[in-house]
Amino acid sequence: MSKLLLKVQNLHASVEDKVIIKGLDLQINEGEVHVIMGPNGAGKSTLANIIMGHPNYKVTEGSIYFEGEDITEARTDERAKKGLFLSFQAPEEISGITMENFMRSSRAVLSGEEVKAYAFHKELMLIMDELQMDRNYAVRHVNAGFSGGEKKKSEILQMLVLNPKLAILDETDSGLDVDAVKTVSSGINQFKNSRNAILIITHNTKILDKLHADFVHVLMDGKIVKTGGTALIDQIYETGFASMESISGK
Amino acid sequence: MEKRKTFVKDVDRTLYDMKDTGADSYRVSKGLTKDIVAEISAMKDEPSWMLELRLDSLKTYHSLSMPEWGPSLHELDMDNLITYVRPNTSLKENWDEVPGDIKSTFERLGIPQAEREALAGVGAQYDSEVVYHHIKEEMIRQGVVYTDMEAAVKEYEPMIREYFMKLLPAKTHKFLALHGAVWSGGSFVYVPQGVDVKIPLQSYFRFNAPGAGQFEHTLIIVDKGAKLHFIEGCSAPKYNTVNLHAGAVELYVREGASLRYSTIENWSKNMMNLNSKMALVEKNANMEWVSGTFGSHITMLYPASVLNGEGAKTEFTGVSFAAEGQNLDTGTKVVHAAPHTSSIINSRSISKGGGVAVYRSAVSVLPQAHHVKSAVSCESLMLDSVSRSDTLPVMDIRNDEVDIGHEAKIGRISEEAIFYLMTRGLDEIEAKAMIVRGFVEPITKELPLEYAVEMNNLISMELEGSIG
Amino acid sequence: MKNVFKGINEIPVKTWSWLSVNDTELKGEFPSWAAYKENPLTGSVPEGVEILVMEPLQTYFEKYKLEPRAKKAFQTYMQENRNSGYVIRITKGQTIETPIFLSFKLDESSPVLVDNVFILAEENSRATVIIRYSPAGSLDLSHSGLTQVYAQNGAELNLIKVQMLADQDRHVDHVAGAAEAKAKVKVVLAELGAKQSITNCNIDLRGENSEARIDSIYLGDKERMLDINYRIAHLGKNTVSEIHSRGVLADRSEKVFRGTIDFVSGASGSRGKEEEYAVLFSPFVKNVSAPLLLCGEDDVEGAHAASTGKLDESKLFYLMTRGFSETDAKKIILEASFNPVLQKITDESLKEQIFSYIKERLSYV
Repeated sequence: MSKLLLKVQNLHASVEDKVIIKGLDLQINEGEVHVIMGPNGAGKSTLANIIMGHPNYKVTEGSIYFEGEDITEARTDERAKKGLFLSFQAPEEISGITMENFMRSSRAVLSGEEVKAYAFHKELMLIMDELQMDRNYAVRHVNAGFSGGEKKKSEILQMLVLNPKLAILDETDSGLDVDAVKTVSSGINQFKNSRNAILIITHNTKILDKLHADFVHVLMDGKIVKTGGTALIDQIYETGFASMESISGK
Repeated sequence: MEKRKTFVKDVDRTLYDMKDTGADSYRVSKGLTKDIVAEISAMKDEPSWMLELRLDSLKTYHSLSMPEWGPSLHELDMDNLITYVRPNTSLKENWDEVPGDIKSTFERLGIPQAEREALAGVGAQYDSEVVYHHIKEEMIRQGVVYTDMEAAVKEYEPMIREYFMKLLPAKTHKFLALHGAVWSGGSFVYVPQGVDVKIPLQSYFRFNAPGAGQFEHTLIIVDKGAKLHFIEGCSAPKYNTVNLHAGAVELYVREGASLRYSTIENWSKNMMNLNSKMALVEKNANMEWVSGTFGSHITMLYPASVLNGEGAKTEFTGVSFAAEGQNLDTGTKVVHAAPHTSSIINSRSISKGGGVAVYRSAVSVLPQAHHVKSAVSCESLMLDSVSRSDTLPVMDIRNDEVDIGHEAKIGRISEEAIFYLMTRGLDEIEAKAMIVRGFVEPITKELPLEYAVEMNNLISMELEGSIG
Repeated sequence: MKNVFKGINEIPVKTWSWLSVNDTELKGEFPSWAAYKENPLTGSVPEGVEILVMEPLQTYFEKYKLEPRAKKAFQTYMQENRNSGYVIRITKGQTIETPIFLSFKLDESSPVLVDNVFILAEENSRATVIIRYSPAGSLDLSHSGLTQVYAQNGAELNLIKVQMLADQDRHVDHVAGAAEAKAKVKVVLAELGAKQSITNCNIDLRGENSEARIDSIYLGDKERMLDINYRIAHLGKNTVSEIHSRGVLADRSEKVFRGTIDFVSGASGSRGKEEEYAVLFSPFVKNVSAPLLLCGEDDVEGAHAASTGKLDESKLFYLMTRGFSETDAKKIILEASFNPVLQKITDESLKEQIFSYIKERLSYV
């Protein structure tokens, strides 16, 4: 059996005294693609932020394990060093730092080794070419002045360059034009292998056309109310999230 | 979430704080009188007009009052300041001849390695006198003059007499008047018409004597169509007494010429840095100021550009980093005195540990200056809640054919940005340092590489030891 | 006694004196006490509002200790020469729909006005107070005044002040305000006339989650002088401020604008914004702007922007191709520039009066 990467156990979490996650369980193994769907406000982005240790969210109960290790209290950078990655829904702009220098610094701290500028540059150009991304992005400042689509591409590029064990993609597919969707899905396919895993958070299923999901979870009101295969996606399409509410016992 | 406060430790200044003892041969007695001024002039064997200028300036000095705005200068005890300290050596052109203790001080600071690597000429001033001046042969052949101001007063007397303290007359303010009375050292540069000095000239100022003043005078004339990049670096060790730096920089940028004047100032934190700088920019000429202020106890520094000819341009790029015990009052002045002139001002400041950073500027458009463009952008970063950051820009516009814009922002490092960088593996300090480096990038990108590296090191040093 | 005033409208932090922006002085002198005979109150007093005349003022001033940005000498002048005074108290929890209107007319029989008004919005009350200064004829009229507004917890107070004096008149006006927790103070100022108009507005955000806005328009023409000094200070946590000013300068008019957002240490979580846009109609104007941002607290967001430019000629051309004369087209552009502020004036007839006043002023431009 493949190795267990992420285990979320009976997670309860709140932000500013508002309870958002109310008893959530989730297990992700190597080689798997998971999809979490749910209506707006169900707590999808919150979950992504909590897994990465955002300081604004407080875990009030339950635990998060990564490769068997309890990371519930770990600092965000420690989690990243263990192999967790989040592709942000709205990535921050860091002006004054080029994408290339940023990713090289990040690679260096993640690996704990010096990263040679020239070798890194070559590798980066290769990845960007494969993604059919304009090489100019490398000298632009981190997400600064990027369009929505460009920001998402930048996140996918970082995922490929940093090569995490588990990539969480928070609404990476929303609001993209055709060209950007292509880049993003080809990036995800390029990334995926039997040694890593992907958690896709979305309310839209376009991106799943080209990507096989092993598990689909429905997140509503801070809990996973249903888990199934891709068939669940069709069901959501036909009847909407409302039909799931009966399952959640409301 | 509980808001966290940042505590940032002071930077390690070991390198800059090294001092040697008693290298000077001569000092005038404390305080400022007519006799002292005359004595300085006599020591330098100056022409009589210069003695007159000094004595007139002294009169002006006594008639002017201290500024009513800006940082408090109450710690400055003018009667107890040694105005003139002459090092124990005469001017050298060969680095090997510079005395060992003075030489080792400069070598610790990377002068003149810098010359060997990338500079067309280097001048080094130790306390009040220039101890080393060197210019590459090739530059001399093209007619470029780079010499110390004392020598220039004699060798280029007509030119000096015509331009010396004409842009910055003694009556401008009390410290310029003081400067006029006791100035000593500094550089004179003349770049002949059409000559492009492709590699930068550099001057380095170093204070060693405690409780002294440094009043160097820099005069640069870039003739028609010529180009020059001039770099000045400043540092001093820390003593418990207050030191005063009241230099003056006068720049003439003639028709079609361009001049870039870069300064990285890292005076020790007992220094009162009350420096004056002004450029007269003629038709289609271009003046660029790059100014980094890190050291000093108090700085009042506002490089000014007078856009005097049609099509003249100026750009000011400044950064200041105010830490504990520092009040850095910096900015710029631009006078649009001719049509079709333009100015770009870009300023960044950082304050931490109780430091005070003030951005102060004045953009004036005179009635005759139509079709003027000016864009000002200033941003301030507060690293904690015990520091201060004030933005005080003034625009005075007397013509309607103008396009004047001003933007300013103030705030701290966003927690979301720190989180974003931490998800990429950077710890909190690294994340903050990266954001600060990015914040000052508009300035670092204007600097020669070795200065950009030094500036980034200074930032990292300033941020080390901060706890989240 | 000569009432000559220097050093008024002082900037909160001084800068170079050669810029002449640190303060201003009154040209000529202010007259000493004379009676003001008009009754500014129009309409009936709505339920939930109490209006007191003159005497109780001092009690309120002393109780709430608002600090107008006026020199002591000027404050003394106003106190000694006060000839009209009102306390307007909005009762706790009351929402007053109809604006309370004070219309001060100056004319031959009442050429001098020194008005003091104190407006207290008690807890969770809401009201709008409009104060207008207008002349009857051009007679060298003098107005100086002080309006204080205090909003208690959760109250919302809108103050609209419109100055429509004539070319020979002088106007020195102070607004001082403070907001307690969750209270809002919104001030709309229209500085339209007078030979010399010196105005300031200073609001302290004392309570947590309080808000203040200053929206202003100014109009300079002929050789008139405008001197403006606004400041909002963030004292409480999570406070929000905005200064928004739009102006037009024509002929040989002069204007000095000082706008300050002051984040005092401890005002964490606060946001402040300041904008000033000036449109210049003539090459002979003097337009000085000093947008200050003072900050002693890191957990804040502050921004200011100022811009000055000529009237947009392509816009003018566009309007003229639609058949408007140059003057009409300029008026339309001016109206468009003032509209974001004017739409905050809910009183339709007052808005009409302002428009026709502006049109009248610009009829020869």
